[in-house]
Amino acid sequence: MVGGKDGPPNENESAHSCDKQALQQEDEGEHPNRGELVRGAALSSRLISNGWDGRARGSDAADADNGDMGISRNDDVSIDAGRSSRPRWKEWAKHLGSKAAGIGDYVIEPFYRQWVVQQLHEGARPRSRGAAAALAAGRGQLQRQESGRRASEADLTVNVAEVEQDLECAQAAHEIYLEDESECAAALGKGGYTVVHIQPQDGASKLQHPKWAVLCDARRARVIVVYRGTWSWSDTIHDLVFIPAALPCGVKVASSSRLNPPAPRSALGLKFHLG
Amino acid sequence: MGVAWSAPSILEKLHSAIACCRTAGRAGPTVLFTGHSYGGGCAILLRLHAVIDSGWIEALRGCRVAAVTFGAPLVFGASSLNFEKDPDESSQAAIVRTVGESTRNYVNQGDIIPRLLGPHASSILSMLSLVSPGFGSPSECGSGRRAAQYLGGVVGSIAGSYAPVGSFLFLYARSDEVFARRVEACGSPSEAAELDRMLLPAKAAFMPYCIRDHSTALYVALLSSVRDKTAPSIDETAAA
Repeated sequence: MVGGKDGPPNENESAHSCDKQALQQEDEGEHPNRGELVRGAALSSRLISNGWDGRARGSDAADADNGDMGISRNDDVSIDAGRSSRPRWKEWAKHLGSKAAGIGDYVIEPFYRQWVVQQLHEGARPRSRGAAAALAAGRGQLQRQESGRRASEADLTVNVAEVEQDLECAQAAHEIYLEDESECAAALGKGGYTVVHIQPQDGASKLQHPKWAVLCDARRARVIVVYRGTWSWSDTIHDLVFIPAALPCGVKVASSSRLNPPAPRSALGLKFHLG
Repeated sequence: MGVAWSAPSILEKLHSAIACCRTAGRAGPTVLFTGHSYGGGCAILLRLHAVIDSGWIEALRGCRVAAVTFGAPLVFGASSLNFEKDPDESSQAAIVRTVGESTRNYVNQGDIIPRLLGPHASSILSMLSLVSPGFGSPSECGSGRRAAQYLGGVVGSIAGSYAPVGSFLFLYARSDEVFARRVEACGSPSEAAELDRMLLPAKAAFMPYCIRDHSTALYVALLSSVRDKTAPSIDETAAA
């Protein structure tokens, strides 16, 4: 179970008090999105305290998340949200109040909101009547708010012409990670580009000598110089963020495990392109 | 540094690519420096190189040049952007302005990398310590100790000393739609304040996804959605 507790769930009282508290916080919030965030936090902590089936939640959240963003799951985008958030979720919820505005309504609010909505969908299974009531109330609130608040065109402050060429840049930045040179050249040349040159990266040099490529589309008079990030960050970041979570400090482990922690990818099922 | 090492070779190849465009009857090609993560940082530095190196200036004469990065770390030192204290203020300011005007940095939702070295680095590190107890302090756990050493030795020493330059385009999903919000780092004070706010992560939403959002696949997917949304419809095209 993720972020929950194994004992019997609390009854209605705590759920309703959370509801009140959440709504009160929303009324007091200076910014409407701040209020929404705080309420989201209250909802999620309530779900946790009511004995949510976290395992189902984690996998469903990841599935629905990708689906909602119009992203098809592939090898590069897979995450077990439940596992990664397991050890410290209650602490995050506790700290929400002070820094709820965070990055702001543009980034975190919709993202977090989406996450909370996913918790309220059928994938998550309440274990008590109290939790079921909380589910119904939370779902209704979020749905009402959703229908009354669609994003305006002002949120899309990008140059249309730029987006097209920036997308090609993004694809090039993605394809240049391919290890096999011929495969990489074929992928880079997909959008009508001629690959002028690919400078391979020596695996031992890593940060010092990056891999790069020059692409040219004479018809559209466009030249792209693309650098590749380095894979070495991937392991580092995984070590920093995930391994200690999977292997909490203070827990006695065999010395061999300490010296040879499980490989981040195989242990946690994560696959990323990290630069 | 790898960028300086690669610049002469790139320039050589760039010459032929630009010549190819010009022989095709297209004057003033668009030259884009791009990359993801560390590659994005390299792209910005190459753009800087193209502004200050005479060979590059000559080669790119008449071209439209821009740097487009995805989840790139900040590469300009905050102290180097303090022009008031710099005696050679005008030239340095002009260089940074030129680079900034032609740089677009895409940031996907809670991506940690563009934020890690910025003004809110200490907040991020303290948040990471919530997830990983090994952060910032030595511990018995092997991985935690490695993490602490890494933070102390690399990230900790440089975090917070970098400043954003250029346009920042934050990609984010709301319900079933994807949006992009553009904020200029060198714009008005209100825009600078907004950028500062957007670079400050919120704990609950940031932590579960800060690594996942760094994926190049997500950048491509979200930008595709934005493109689909911004692309003019068939009716609009016909009317035009």
